[in-house]
Amino acid sequence: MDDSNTILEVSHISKTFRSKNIFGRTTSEVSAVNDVSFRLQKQRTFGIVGESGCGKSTLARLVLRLIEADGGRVMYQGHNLLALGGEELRKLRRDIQMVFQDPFSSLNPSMTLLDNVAFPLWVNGTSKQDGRIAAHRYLEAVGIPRSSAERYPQSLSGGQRQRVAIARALVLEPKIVIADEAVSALDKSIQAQALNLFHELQQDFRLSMIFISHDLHVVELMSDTVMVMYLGMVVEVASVEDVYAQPYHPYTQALFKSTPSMDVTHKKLDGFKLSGELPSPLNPPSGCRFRTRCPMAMETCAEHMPELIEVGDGHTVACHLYGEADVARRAI
Amino acid sequence: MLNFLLRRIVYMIPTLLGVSFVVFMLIQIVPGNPVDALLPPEASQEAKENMIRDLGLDRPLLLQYMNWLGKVVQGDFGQSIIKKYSINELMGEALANSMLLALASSLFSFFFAVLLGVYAAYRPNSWVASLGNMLAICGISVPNFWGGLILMGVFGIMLGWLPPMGMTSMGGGGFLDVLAHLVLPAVAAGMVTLGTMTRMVRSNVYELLNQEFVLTLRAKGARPITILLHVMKNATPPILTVAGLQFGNLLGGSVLVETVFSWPGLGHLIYQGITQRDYPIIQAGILVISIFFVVLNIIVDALHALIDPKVQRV
Amino acid sequence: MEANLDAMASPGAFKEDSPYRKALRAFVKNKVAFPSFVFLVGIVLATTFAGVLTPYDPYQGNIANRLQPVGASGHLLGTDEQGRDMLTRILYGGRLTLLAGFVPVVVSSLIGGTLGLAAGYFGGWLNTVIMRTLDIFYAFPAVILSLGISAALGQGMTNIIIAITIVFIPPVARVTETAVKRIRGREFIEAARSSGAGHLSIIRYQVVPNVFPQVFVFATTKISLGIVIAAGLSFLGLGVNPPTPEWGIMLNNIKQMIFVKPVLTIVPGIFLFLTSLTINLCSDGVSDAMQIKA
Repeated sequence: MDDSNTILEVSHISKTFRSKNIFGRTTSEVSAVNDVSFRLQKQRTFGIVGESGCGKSTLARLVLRLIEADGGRVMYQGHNLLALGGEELRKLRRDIQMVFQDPFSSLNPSMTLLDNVAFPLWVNGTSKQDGRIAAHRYLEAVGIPRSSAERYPQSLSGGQRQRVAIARALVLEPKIVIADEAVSALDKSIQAQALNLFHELQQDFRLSMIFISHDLHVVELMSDTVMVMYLGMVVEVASVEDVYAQPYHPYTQALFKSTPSMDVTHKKLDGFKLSGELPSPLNPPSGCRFRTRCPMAMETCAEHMPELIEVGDGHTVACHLYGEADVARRAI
Repeated sequence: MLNFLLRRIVYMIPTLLGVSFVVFMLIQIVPGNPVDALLPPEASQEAKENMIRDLGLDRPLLLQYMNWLGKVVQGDFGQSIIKKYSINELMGEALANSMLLALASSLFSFFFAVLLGVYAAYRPNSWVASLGNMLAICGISVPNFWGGLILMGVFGIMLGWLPPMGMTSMGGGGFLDVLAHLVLPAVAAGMVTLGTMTRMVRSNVYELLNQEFVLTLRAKGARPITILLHVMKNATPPILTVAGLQFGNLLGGSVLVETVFSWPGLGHLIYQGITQRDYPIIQAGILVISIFFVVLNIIVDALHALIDPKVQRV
Repeated sequence: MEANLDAMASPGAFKEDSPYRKALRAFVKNKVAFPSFVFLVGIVLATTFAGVLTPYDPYQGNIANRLQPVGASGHLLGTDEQGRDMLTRILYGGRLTLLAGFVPVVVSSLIGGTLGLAAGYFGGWLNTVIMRTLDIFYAFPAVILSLGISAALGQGMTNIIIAITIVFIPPVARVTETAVKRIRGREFIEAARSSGAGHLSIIRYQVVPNVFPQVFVFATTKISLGIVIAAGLSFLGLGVNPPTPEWGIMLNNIKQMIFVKPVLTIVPGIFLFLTSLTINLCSDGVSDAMQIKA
């Protein structure tokens, strides 16, 4: 991996939500994101996939500092975003914008579409007039005609609203766009249009993207690299091709309906489907968090948290099935 | 259930403390020295100082509060400044009379509210429904003391059907006598509640009637009375909540009605306290009504929990 | 293409009315609420310009002319117990009563709205402190609390206004807080934050415009209550001193005459009632027009 090509580097970021009683004592903890690291390459798309509740949306909000992280770093242009404050943060934050999941909640119903898109410019010092002119341009770029710009979000369909939300994310001319389940609320036919739009805009505006979804097909279509998360932890990271050709982690295999393993030294997982409920993040299982649903679980899984180890070129996995030996063997 | 009740009662304590503090502070916001207001201007300096000491006005605020609270908790509201009676004696009877009035007006207003509200929900386009709607909005809007005056003028004086004032006739005092005296003030006090409750019952029942389980019951050919029972079972909890609040408001709002009809309740007592600047009486009256209001809320919660076990878990 | 775009941008094309404009149009079309509103405006104007409208002095009466019935010559609504023209006194008296109903609603909406906004938006301990404190005031029946405060502060219309304002603050704050909390979790707030907007501009542009309708509709339901409570406290003698005309105290004065002329009480009270009724009808209309349940 070439460092000069990295635009955003997230390292060891964690977040635990605590609820406290009136005496300030912690009554419950939810480990939403636990020690997650990844790199986003310039003008590439980094996909994050996992079941709902796995912490992927929290992760996105931590990067944007919509939620404050407990620890870790987010390096962008030589600055740690998590340590910045005031004006510097404001300036850099403009470069990272987000498209949200729910098109019915992501637009301000009391503003026209135009003002919804122009608002980010206004708060950054652009005049009302100039802001609106720029907003028109971006609305057109996402396919909302000028004539509709003065309408209110309520009279739009979900797909149209999401286009407006995309325009709003682009209006600050960001370098990075985080799309958090940005198409999952849309009908299948509209989804395809929206994905195409993302593709086009990524080319036109030279964007780097983090694409978050629970839908493997969507992630496959959009991403160059895929990170699989389970209960707040990273279980596997690989290029799209690799993860489809050779998923290592039992969870990844289950997700991808288990393409059979080529490696005869390991048990096959044909036909294994995810069963049981996602355990509560309130009290995650000890050791490997996936072990309670894992058909291959061993004793050690309950005792030690598996670390991410490299099993191929840029392909890492966190599972006790793959020990040092595998890595060594592969290196030969 | 017991657990739930206990928790509610524990939660009630800070509220009661707060309420008592606010009531205590009422005296403190009286402009100037309350003693000057209480004693005639020619009173000697010594008399003033004595009164200050008697009322404990020379001690720090928090201490005064603790002192006062300590007595109140033991049911001792002190002496009425002017009447020189023990407030407890005055309070006890007045509270009973006020409760009687509040109960009577609740019975009147809840009964007609449910009747009108349910009917209006079943037949939203009938003339009875329109009449009910009009009655409801008028009930909400009418100032109860003016309504009381009209009732008194028309039924008490012009037509002479019912006694216009007081709680008992001269030399009377039997059950029927009190009942006759109760009618006009109860109707006057209940009008606002009647309006509020009718609207509330109507919209609740109307919504329920259009829900799928009712449509299913209808499709299955259930008898209308069965459907009504199902609907009412679901409509009861929210209605009960509002009814509880309304009962508390009846007790509070009756100050005016009691004054109009000279009904010897808490409200009337407070009114006398106001005209005579007898602050301990006002304080005690407000405190009793407010404590009652808080306790009432707990009772409503408990009833609510009995009907709808889901509530208990919250 | 260029020309095409310009043609589509011609002013007015597809322009959608703002939600307020839509609500206004619905309100004007409302066959009950709008006439009520017109009536109300009439009352407000008539009381404001009472001096121009009536030839009589509200303080001077002719004892020989006392207790004239409705429709007596020269006295449209009769005269009161001191022979003063009833209509004149009602018009002058409405000023104080209306003021004592409206002012508390406006002031408590501002104060309660701000408190609710702060509690709902910032949450945490601030929310706990604000909301738990207000809960204490919630434990009192409205009339009783206003009565207590007004009695403690002493006689006077200003004190009645202060008392009612204090009583209205907690409910307004609670409604605002609930509305703000609901808006606070919406994604457009997060979007605004990630675009670098500070708390002030988020509150001003993203939160307030979306909670205002809710708070406004709620406030309108309190106006008639404010007027009724104000008149009631004044009826108990906590308002103005006798010669000054005011609806509550006028009713109290006439009450003394009720055994002599039982119907007389209808006259000054009916204005109070009609005002309260039309305000409630307007409030219902506003709530319908804005499609917000109060």
